[in-house]
Amino acid sequence: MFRIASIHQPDMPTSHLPPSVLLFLLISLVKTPGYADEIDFAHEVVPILKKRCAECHSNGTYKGGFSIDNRQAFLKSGHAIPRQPTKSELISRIHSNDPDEQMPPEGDRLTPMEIATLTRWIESGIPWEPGFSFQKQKWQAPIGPRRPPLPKGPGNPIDRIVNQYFSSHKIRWPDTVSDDQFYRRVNLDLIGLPPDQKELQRFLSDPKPNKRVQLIRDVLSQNVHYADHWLTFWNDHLRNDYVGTGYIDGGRKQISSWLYQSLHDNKPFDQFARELISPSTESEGFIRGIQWRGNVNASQVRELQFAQSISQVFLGENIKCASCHDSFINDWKLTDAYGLAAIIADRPLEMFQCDKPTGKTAVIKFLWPELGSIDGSLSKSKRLERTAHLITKPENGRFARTIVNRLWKRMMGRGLVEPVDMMANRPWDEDLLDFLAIDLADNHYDLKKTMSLIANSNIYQSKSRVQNQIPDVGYTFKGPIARRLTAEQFLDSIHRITQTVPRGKRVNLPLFTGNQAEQSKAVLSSWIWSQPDSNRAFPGEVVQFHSTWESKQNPPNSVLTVTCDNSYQLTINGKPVKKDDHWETIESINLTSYLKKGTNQIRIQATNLGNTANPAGLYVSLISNRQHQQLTWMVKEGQSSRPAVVLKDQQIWQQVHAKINQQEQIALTQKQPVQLRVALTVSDPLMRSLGRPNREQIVTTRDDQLSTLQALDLSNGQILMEILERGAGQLINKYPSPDKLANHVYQTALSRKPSLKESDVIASILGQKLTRESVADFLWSVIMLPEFQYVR
Amino acid sequence: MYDNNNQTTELSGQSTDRQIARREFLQATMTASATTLALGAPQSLTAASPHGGMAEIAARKIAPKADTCILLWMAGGMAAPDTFNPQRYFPFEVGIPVEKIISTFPAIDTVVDNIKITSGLENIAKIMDRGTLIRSHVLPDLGHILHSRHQYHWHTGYVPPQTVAAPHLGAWMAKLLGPNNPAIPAFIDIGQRLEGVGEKEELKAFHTAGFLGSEYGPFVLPFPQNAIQSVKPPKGMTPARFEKRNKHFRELIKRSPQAEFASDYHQESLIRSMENAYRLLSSKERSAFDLTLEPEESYKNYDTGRFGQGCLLARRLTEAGARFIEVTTEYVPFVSWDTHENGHTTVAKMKKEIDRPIAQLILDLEERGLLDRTLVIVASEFSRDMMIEGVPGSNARDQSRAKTDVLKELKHYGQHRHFTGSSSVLMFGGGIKKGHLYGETRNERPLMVTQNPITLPDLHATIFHAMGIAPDAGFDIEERPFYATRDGKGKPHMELFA
Repeated sequence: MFRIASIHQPDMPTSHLPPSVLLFLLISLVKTPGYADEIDFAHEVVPILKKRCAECHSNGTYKGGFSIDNRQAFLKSGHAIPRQPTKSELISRIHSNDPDEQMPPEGDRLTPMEIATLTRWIESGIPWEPGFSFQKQKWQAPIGPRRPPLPKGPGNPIDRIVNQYFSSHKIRWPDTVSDDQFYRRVNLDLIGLPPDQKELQRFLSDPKPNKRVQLIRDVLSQNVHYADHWLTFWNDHLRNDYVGTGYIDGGRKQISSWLYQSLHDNKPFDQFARELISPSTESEGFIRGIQWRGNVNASQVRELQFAQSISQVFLGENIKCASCHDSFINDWKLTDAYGLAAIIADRPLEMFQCDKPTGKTAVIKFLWPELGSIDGSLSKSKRLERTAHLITKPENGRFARTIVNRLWKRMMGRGLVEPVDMMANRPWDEDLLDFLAIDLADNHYDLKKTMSLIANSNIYQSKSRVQNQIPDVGYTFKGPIARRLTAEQFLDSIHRITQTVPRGKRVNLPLFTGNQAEQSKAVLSSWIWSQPDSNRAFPGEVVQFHSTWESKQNPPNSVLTVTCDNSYQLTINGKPVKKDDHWETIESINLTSYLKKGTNQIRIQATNLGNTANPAGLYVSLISNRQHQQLTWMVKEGQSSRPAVVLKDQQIWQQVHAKINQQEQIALTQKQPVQLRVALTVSDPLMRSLGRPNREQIVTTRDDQLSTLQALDLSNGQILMEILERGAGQLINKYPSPDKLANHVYQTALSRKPSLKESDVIASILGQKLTRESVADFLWSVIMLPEFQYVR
Repeated sequence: MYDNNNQTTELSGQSTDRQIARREFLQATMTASATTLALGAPQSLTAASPHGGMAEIAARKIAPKADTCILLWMAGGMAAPDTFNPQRYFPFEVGIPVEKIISTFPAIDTVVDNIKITSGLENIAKIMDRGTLIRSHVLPDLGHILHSRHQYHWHTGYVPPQTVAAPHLGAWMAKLLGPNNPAIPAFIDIGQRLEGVGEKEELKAFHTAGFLGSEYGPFVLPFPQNAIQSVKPPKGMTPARFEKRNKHFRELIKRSPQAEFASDYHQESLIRSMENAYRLLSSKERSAFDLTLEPEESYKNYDTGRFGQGCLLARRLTEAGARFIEVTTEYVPFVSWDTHENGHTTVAKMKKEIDRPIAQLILDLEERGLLDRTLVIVASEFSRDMMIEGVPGSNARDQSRAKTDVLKELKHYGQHRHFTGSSSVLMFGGGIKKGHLYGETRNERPLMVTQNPITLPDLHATIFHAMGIAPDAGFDIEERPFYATRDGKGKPHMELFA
């Protein structure tokens, strides 16, 4: 019978059905009531049953033995017969005026409309929302924090709780993961980057017993990498993006700079949340939501977006249903959703039910009155401040539980509570959830502390469990499960393996704001051109700049910061490096692979555009091994050259000085030359295909399986192909021998050397002499491996 | 392997398609677990969708009338009075008051007695006996006319914003019906470039499967002539090298020391998807994507530009077994149908672009015996008018760039304002009536619908009905029921079917 239910599905084309099934289909079609009889159980029937029947016939109270808890119980009573309202006692009882017979026994009679609805419902076969029950969940998620008793013994508290869980569920501890796999896992999970070959070797040969503790500390202390990585997570959660819906006409506001800075500084999470809920102009984008032009559904006005967003992100509560009508899936009511929405409303907020005005005005109300209330007479900014306080105060245990559960999922593959946005669901271990939450609060909401605690646990450091099917109801925790690389992790890894940089449009974030920016506004170099008057360069003028630079080492870590009004082409030692024609975008180019020991020739062809005389200038600075290098620039004129001129008015390009300064500061202070991460670029088709969402909605979980369309893009898409071809060229220069190249790729991609069995295949792919083709194909084969695409 | 798992095998019988098996599995668990849910167990089926739990809502089964759906999209707002709803016409003449003119093209006869359309559409006039012309499609005035927003609405059936990402019409078909031929992606989108700045960024919001998951998203082919590139090994790679690369990849998997993970569902799905992709990229069906294989004469019949080539590609893909194809004239602000000035001249050009290929597509499908099982729709996000923005009384901003009360120069002559009161839609095949006219508008401005209004949920329900999908087919997503037509309330207009 089950197969008949799937008759419209592609494995069962109707023409292949046996005649008996076809006959069944025809009969059921004939029997199907017309469209006019359409009944909406959730929106039409449930409200009546809830209002008039549930009190006596559900959730533990079953007067007359009649239960409406679920469809099965409902039918079992025999009081209603599908498609036969006239024979259904329920209908005759609600019609009856006999005091002994009538239902409900007290209060108003059902209205003719209500009776008609119930009659239609029975006529159409008593359809029921799958999974819906009037029976309340027996387990109630606590709101307050709880300090669970920790099982006695030494070790990480997480392990002690897990151990207790394992013994009561008779589960064997998984084996510990090897050092090399642990290295990859920690780097990808915490900063989103694959292993660095040298660092990996150092780690593997380190004999110290506490080297894993040390590694976790080192990884988490890399603030820039940490911010680059978690930016993706928070952009998804706070639906922040760089371009897209709403941005073109001010209907939406970025919080990128605030967000990046907050992550970089590891801002305490309670403060982070407070600054989002009760924001400054820098962080207000989140609660402002998206203003779509024109009329929007009443449940999607900005005020309700605010209510929905703060509940989902910080409290793991879904009040989206309740924004339209009293929810059927949880206890939230229309008044709850509007109660939150009214906090941010500038004027009295009229309540709509399913897009129809109710004539009532929303009254400010916080979701859990036991945590406190919000005084409606306060100004809007005071109300927001108060809301931020109620959400983040320690008495609200839900706040910490929600975020630790999200972090657990990211690091262990599945949440303690699932879905992560439904924190009213029961966790698979309450003690563990409550412990992690209270520990976060104890540590002043330092998220890195939670990450560190998890990463230092034996259970995190265990081998991943093979998960044969999608984890489902009745899930039992057995250990970490594989987590798929996000689009950003996947592409960043490929760029690291191939030693290339993303070519996407870069987003410039003022990294260091406030005082730091004040202190270090000065840029290292000057704007130059062919003549000193900054304002009056010839239209269409092309200037050939050149300079030489002596390097004592090979190869030096070198970063060139460059921009030109209007465009430039950079060539080093005869090799074209970069072209650009947006002077507002500041390029930091890693020159390491272009430079050599000895004399290097740097040439820049600069062009001024326009029809009349206008400002033109070129800015270049070179930082090598964290030292600024003074370059002498010459302008070529015919066969001879003369010195370039420093422009009189440097302030014309003032607006980009902060950006230039940032790039230079990074280059001066980082251990490695700064490398652009894809999270800081505008999304492209490949990223979108790999799951980087359009951030019109909050996305808290990305798809964990590879789809066929994605596989197609990976198999023949030009964007990936170009990265691989470019990378192949780069690697051949650096690793002329096939063995060395294979080792580099395997160690960076998979954190291990190829096995003997694998080496045979690799040898036949790469051959004796490396070619761009063979290396690109080798790279492709490695990055397609499930071992690469998942963190295990 | 997955099929050895308990419930799946029992439920899906011999089905080899994991996707289907999982869908059934989900349905089954949802029903079976009603009691568990009541006890407060997690309701999650997390991995099923990027948004957390998702379960299919049981809907009525409908026998499909068509296997393939082709949507020919007139992006930017096709003016009905200048195309399929001819009204009072005046040729251009300096000094004529604009209010006197409704159409800027004269009416012409079609092969159907009671149907007239406008000049420039002579080829479509000859095939009007194959389908139905609807003049009474009513779209809402969303308060501020913006193409990306109205196109979002038309393609998803939902007015943005929504609390979850709404799926495109094609994604619903891909999800609920699956591919018609496993070697051809179920949802193909031809002609629209999605990369760009400004409003183009907003088109991405509906070119997506939304919460249904990327598996059901569009296979995007912006340039029909390059379509074959999308199903060929990458540029510069010979078939031999491509085959070798795949062989090596499989060999590396086989030798991976992590063999223990072979049965992990993540790994399994990755390998299955890679194999699907490889199959498509080396299948014989992929020649359907190659327009150079089309006989020259036939190619010429279609070749009016990218849209015409797109129609040809759609025909070839239909023959090969596509499920849903959209071909668009491409939305670019102020270009093509999006006339804010000089409308008459631009529409004359647009007609040249669409007239021959649309007619040829219908004739070719008919000749190949495919028209009966293929539903072809010609539609647009709204109509246009010379004077009215939105509908009368709307607060929509006047966006004409050639404002005048009296014609002074040719650029004033055309439909420069967005009108939502009535639009024209053509439907062919898939059991739709032939030679039929449905609905009517006033014959004076404003051209409001006077008979048989058909709203978007109803039009979608009609399209879905032809494809065998109930209007209330849907999924619980974030515990909200989300249906193929808005709130599950669309009603097919059964009188459109023969």
